[in-house]
Amino acid sequence: MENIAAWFMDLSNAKSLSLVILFVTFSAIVIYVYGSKSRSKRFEEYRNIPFLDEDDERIPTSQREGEK
Amino acid sequence: MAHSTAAGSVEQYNYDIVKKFAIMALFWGIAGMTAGTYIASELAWPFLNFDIAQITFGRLRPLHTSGVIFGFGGNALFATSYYIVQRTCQTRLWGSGLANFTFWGWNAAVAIAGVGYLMGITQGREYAEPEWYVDLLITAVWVVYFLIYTMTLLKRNQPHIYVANWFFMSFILAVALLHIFNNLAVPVSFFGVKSYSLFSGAQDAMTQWWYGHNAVGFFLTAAFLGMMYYFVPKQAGRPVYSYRLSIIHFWALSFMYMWVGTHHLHWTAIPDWTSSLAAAFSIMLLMPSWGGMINGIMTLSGAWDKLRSDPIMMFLITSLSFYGMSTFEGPMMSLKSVNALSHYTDWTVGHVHSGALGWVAMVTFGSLYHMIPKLWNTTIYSVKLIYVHFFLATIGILLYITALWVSGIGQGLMLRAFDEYGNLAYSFIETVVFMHGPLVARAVAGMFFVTGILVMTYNIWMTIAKRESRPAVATSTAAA
Repeated sequence: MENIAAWFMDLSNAKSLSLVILFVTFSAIVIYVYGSKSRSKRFEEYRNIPFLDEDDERIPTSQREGEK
Repeated sequence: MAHSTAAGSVEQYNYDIVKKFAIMALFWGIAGMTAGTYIASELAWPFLNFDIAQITFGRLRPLHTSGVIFGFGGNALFATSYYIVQRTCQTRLWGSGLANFTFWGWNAAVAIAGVGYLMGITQGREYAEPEWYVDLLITAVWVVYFLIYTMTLLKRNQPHIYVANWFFMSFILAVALLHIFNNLAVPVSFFGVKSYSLFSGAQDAMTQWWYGHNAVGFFLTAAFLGMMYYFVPKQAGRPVYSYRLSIIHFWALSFMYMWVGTHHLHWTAIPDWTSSLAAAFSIMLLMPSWGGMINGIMTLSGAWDKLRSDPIMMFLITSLSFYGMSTFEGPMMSLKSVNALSHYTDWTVGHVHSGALGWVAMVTFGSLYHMIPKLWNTTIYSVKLIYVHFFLATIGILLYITALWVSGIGQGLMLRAFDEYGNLAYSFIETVVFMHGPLVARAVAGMFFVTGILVMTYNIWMTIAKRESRPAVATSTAAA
């Protein structure tokens, strides 16, 4: 057990380990983002968020709600 | 979608704070860029020092860098991030009083630091020159900024957090980390301005450039990408080219930037493997950088005519082109062999400015031209003046980087040249004589750029004045 701990503490091993961890994490993100058609479709819908805000924000909220 | 509020007179969004930051961005832009042009002129015409210590290159240079990065860039980022987070979350900014604290605190920090530089007060760390008391103020402001941003995100009315906010959050968190660790220092006394860094020697250099390059990566890149991901689609009137690509862009950039700072220390006393690691990650960084650039530019796909008819779009797309160019030049300069020529020369200064003027300033100008009329609920005073500004800025940047390519590459080649006996072929002063012409051109380029922001300020001033005068006109018409 101590040997394993010592292996992780060794700076030269930590570099390789962190490289593996970061590479696997990044690959997982790429697979997650591009791996599913339905998820891809959902992601691409988020593109429209900047256009969902209203242009009449200068009108007090209370008045706008009253109009609804 | 609108977030309900109890007070009837309260507007949906807090625009007052955005307005204040936007105006101060222009103020610091003029101050910082004028200081930059003046010191560029001092290098070309040294008599401009006038033997006054306070206006010599060494003291005005940090005033220029802090003025443009933290004054102009910082205020623009506060303004646009507060604007974007409200509009993409469709909720009012959390903590109005605290937001005002960030405004006064941030601008006081930049002003106190700037006055200090003129008096020779600096801790001598690049892009982190302010002494300990200003660093503490910046820390307090930054913690409050993080709190405001997080709380606003938490009370959003939109289920998904739009990607621009990811970039802003990454910027806020990374800058907090960088600022705190780079500025760890012990003040000499409680009432004294002097402090000493906790680091020394090679560790000091590593910490400095871990901070320095990540300030470029997260302050001047990630945050302005947040700006880009909102304002380019809004101005183009069409959504960003690929949302999935923006996600990959975000994570790749966040993963890679932290590793590259040591490329500023090639051929020095640091361990060689850190230098090679930084160069390798710098090369890899080209991919997310260009992915983001392509994503931004392709947003205009199908509406390329806007590049002829819309000067704001010209600013935004040109900024992305410079982003692409400087993120190609940077990795190339990080190669040890290229760096052996480019380091300690004007090429580096030219590279920084192709990013700072071409990317950061141009995307900011485009965003402010889009945002300010909306803040004041009006239209821009003069579209023609935006065109004038665009061409002044573009000519200025092209002249600037071309002049410093000539100056820097020539300087590098001369400093490395040997004669047939193995002696240096040129003396230092011969390189200075060679550089004089390009340095004059660089100063003229700065004048172009400053003239551009003055034109912009006049245009914005008139836009706001037009808006302010509108109710009075309406009243007088009614009276008549």
